[in-house]
Amino acid sequence: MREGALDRVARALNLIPFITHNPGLSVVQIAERFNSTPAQISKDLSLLHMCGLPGYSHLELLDIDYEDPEYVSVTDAQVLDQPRSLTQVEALTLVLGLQALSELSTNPEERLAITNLQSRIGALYENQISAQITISDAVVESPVIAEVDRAIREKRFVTIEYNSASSDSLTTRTIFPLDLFYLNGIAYLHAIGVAEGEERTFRIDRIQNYSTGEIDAEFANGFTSRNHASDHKEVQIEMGEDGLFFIEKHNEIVTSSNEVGGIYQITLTVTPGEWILRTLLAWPSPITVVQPASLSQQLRERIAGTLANYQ
Amino acid sequence: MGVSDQKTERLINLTMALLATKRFLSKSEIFETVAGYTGSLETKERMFERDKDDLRALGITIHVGSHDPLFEDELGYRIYENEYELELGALTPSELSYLSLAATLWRNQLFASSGEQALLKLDALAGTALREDFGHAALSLENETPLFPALWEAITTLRTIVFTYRSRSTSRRRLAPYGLTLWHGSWYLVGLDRDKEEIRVFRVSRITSEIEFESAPNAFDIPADFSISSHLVMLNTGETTKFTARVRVGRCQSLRAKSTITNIDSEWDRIEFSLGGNWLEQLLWFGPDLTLEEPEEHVAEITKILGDKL
Repeated sequence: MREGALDRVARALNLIPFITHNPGLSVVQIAERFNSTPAQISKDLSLLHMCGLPGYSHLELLDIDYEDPEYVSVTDAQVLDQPRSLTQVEALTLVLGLQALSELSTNPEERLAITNLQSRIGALYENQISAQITISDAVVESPVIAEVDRAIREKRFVTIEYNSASSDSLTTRTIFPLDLFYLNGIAYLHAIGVAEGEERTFRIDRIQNYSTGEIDAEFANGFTSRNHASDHKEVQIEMGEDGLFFIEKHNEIVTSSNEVGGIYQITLTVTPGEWILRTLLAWPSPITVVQPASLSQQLRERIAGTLANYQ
Repeated sequence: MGVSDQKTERLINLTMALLATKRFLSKSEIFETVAGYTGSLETKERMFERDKDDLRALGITIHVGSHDPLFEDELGYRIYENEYELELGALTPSELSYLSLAATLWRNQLFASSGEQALLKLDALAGTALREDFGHAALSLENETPLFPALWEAITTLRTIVFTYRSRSTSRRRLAPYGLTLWHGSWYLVGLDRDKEEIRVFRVSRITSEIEFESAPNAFDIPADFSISSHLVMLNTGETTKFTARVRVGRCQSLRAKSTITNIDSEWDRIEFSLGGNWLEQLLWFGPDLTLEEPEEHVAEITKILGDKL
């Protein structure tokens, strides 16, 4: 696609302050940051070299040194030394991103700093649009998150009472927390299970009790994470119209899907076990497991066993 | 030099001249001093009108005024530095890292590229282009939403739209889009359904067509008291139902946490609890470890569904 003059002007006006304040980058590095090609950036620079203030003598022109493509600098940026103000959508992108970060943050000081920054950026533009594009996930005020976060920083073991949904059991286990992450509005803890000697992921809202243990700054060193991908198995299922909603809800395990005449054929990649069995059992409409046959058999037995309680 | 190069160069020269001036520059001054204006007066006038529109399209505000309060016959033009430049004050390294993270969280095309642009400006401000990537928080905020830029345009320009929506059934919807909100990784579109004359919420991932613009810009007003959150059913816990069930001793842990429990025998307990609209999935999860006893109509429903699933 041929680039319009306007896109070029916009990039040029950003290039000058960027290079002015970051002298010594190569043309290739600059091109990467501007999502452009080195050839295009070189063209931009030679064009900018001809631009300047009225008078257009060497005193008024932009003075750019780009002879050495490994070291670009601006000697005189004239009036273009400062970056342009943020556009409405750029400011909104930052404001919403900061909102998400403040929700994730567990440290009250950090949260305050992020919120202050959010209002500083928000003050740069006055527009109703910030009321129209929003994030609705609520701030998670979890004491567990704050404790876990501290343990991660202090490199401390913790003992948790964890309510595992897939095995429907409440277990007490000692773990070494590695990091917290957020997926689709839910907070998770990534940790080393000490008894298993393996990495495990825990949903924060399923941790019921919590106590801190010893510090061991070295524990995670030398721990190599095991690749669980080899445990994954393919499962093929078929279901009716609400296959659409199944795919939506379980997006992260769906590898392919296909709809013919109202029948959805869906391929999942999962770790075999209780979780997938219960997920299929709990879905409130019929699902046929095409393969593996063992899962199909297990599901049928589980449904029949449940139904038998009522007869 | 191509026409496009000439135009690019002229627009940059014009921006610089209007930014450098401490007073309003008249059109004749601009034509005399800014490089790139050639041809007859009429040609220059046309060029200048287009250039002004182009700079405004880039988000640059050009002020029009008179440089001599006594003689207002000729208007002049200038760009104010404080509007053109990013004025954010000094940023601490941690503030810069929050902003970097905030800019790079996005997977929708509009915010992803806006975030990159914003970061270029921040790095120009702080001279931090070579910084290591910041932050350790692994965040996945949203699923990919290819329709986002079109929806953004419709919302910001107040254009009505038409799209195909797939829910229990598939239908064409005509909507005055009021806003978008992100919840649990998905974008939801809120607006006035023009056929039903009611505010409705749509999950963007269930829109199966392109977004068609139906009207010109400024086709509707958003009511002053409109607030997205008051229309989001998922934020209201809704009505709950009281249930009684028999559960195996030691099982159904997550239900027990919110139940009153009485022991029946060595194998079974009886528990009472309340659940909302997704009770069926929550109870089926426990399979044969749970037998629902009350309310009766819910027992009838769960047994019917189990029969259908078998």
